[in-house]
Amino acid sequence: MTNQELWMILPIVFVGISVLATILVEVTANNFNKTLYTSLFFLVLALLSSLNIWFEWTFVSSSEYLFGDTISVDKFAVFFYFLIIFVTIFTFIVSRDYLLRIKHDRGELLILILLSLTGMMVLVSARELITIYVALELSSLPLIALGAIRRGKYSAEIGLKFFVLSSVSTAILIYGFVFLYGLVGSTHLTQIAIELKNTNIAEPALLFSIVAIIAGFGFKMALVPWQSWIPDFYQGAPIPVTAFLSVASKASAFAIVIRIFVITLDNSISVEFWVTVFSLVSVLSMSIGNFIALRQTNFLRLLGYSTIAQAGYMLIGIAAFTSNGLGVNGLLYYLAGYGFSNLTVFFVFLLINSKFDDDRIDNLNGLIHNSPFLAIFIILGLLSLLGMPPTVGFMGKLFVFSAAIDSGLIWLAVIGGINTVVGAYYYLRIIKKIIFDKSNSSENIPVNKTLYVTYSIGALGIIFLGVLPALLLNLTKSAIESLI
Amino acid sequence: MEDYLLQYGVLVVYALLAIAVPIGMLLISYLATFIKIRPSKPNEVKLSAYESGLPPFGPKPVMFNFRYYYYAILFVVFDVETVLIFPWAVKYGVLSKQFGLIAMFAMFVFLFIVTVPFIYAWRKGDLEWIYNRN
Repeated sequence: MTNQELWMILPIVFVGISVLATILVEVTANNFNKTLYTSLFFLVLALLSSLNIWFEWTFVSSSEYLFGDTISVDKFAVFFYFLIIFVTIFTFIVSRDYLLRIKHDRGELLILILLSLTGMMVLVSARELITIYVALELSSLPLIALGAIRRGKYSAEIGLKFFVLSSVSTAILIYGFVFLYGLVGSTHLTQIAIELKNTNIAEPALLFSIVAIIAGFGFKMALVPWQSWIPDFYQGAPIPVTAFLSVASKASAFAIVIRIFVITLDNSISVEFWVTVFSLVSVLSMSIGNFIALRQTNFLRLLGYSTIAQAGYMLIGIAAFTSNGLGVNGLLYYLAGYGFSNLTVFFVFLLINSKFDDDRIDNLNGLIHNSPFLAIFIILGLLSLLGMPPTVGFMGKLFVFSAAIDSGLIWLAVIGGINTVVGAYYYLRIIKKIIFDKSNSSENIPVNKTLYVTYSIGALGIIFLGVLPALLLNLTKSAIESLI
Repeated sequence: MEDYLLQYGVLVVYALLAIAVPIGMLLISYLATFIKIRPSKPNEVKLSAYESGLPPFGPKPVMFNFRYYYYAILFVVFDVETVLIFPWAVKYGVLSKQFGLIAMFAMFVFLFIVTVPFIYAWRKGDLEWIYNRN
């Protein structure tokens, strides 16, 4: 390991150290605040070292392939580092009050989230099949424990369900990897790409392995034939965990899918095949997610189905492969915007949920009269998820759909548009309840200053990135340039 | 060639010793019964396959103590640790020539990472047989 390699993997190292440090502080200091601040300290260090790589301040090389081409910390990876570390930091800050209220296993919740984050950080920069597999397992195993950590009504059920489904999907993924390795004779993505271009293999085995890999990652991305765990997890798991999972897990899975499909499997035969598969899966996810969400009465289950639909919109970005990187660009933009809007909705709901201790949509009735600020924040988040024009959600949808039109998939863009209208029904229904319906109680929900700051960051992100998309587009553009 | 075979000679001696020791122990113990040093008083517990262990056979599915599971997990941690230390220890001479002291400290880092969960289990009281979280 050279000095340079050490500087390049510093973000991952800091997150790894944060796990150890948090464990040690948790067992020695009997004070939850210390545990929380230790983890936040190391996460901020990880963020700073990611900034170092992005702006090439010190000891950063232009050659990005590290450790025998198993990991590459290019700008694409660093973009996702920013995204998932930010998600984790905000989750920790916002869930502090929630965690102080629950009596047991609150340090463990932080530790497991950090462990999962370590896996995700490796996953977004992995360039080798076995590294991808190990990182994927590291990121999903803590999530199983996290789903069941509260010992509530549903926790055992979701723990078991998530465990079984996740192991089956990983097994299918490995099966796909095995076929790919058998055809090409290498586990390195660079080597696989070269080999596929030179030999132009057109065997059913290649197509089978593509389907298996899509199935394996489809589970993580919450796409439709593999979506059954999502609503249950959203309903039963602690809300901070769900907020973390909904953005970070999805983002890391999309990152690795971009690396495997858009960069590696880009010979003409496989492209033609996986573009078809991705378009179909995307249509299924959008339609089924939106139509089931229409009739939900539980807010968290509704968000679960909404996340399935959102994954469908994002997948259009990958299906629009022939648009010269526009699709992936739109996808990255969409993911960042989705992070802002979904987290805002989740975190506001965390506060409301802590008052009612139950997650029916009716609890939001008349929120604007009791706590107008919270209502404005959650309405902004919902509008952005719906794709209303001055918000970041609209910009994301615009980029993704226009990329689809550019690459000749007009029908996909049309179905996406129709689904946006269908989705508008249930998002607007919640907003109607918030504004016009009669409230069950008249007391307002206490909010402390830290929470206002985080909500405001979310709201500012939603509006600013919706009005001035160039801020984020520069980042996504250079991320993609480093990739291609 | 003879030197090569001689290495197996050591193995043969070791095998003979390994066979002789338990047979000798049983033999001495058997002989001791004749001079009344070792009285033979068998009972049900003594004759069971694992004295002070779980009964190996039972009429219905045996109830396990759930707490074995913690020990199993901690055992796996140390088992994997050993597996990874062995190749390092064998090649330490080569490694230390190439990397100097870093070769040693790299393993210390690994050992530290493995020890942290152990500390966690210890401080959280998972090593105590009678489980008491507070």
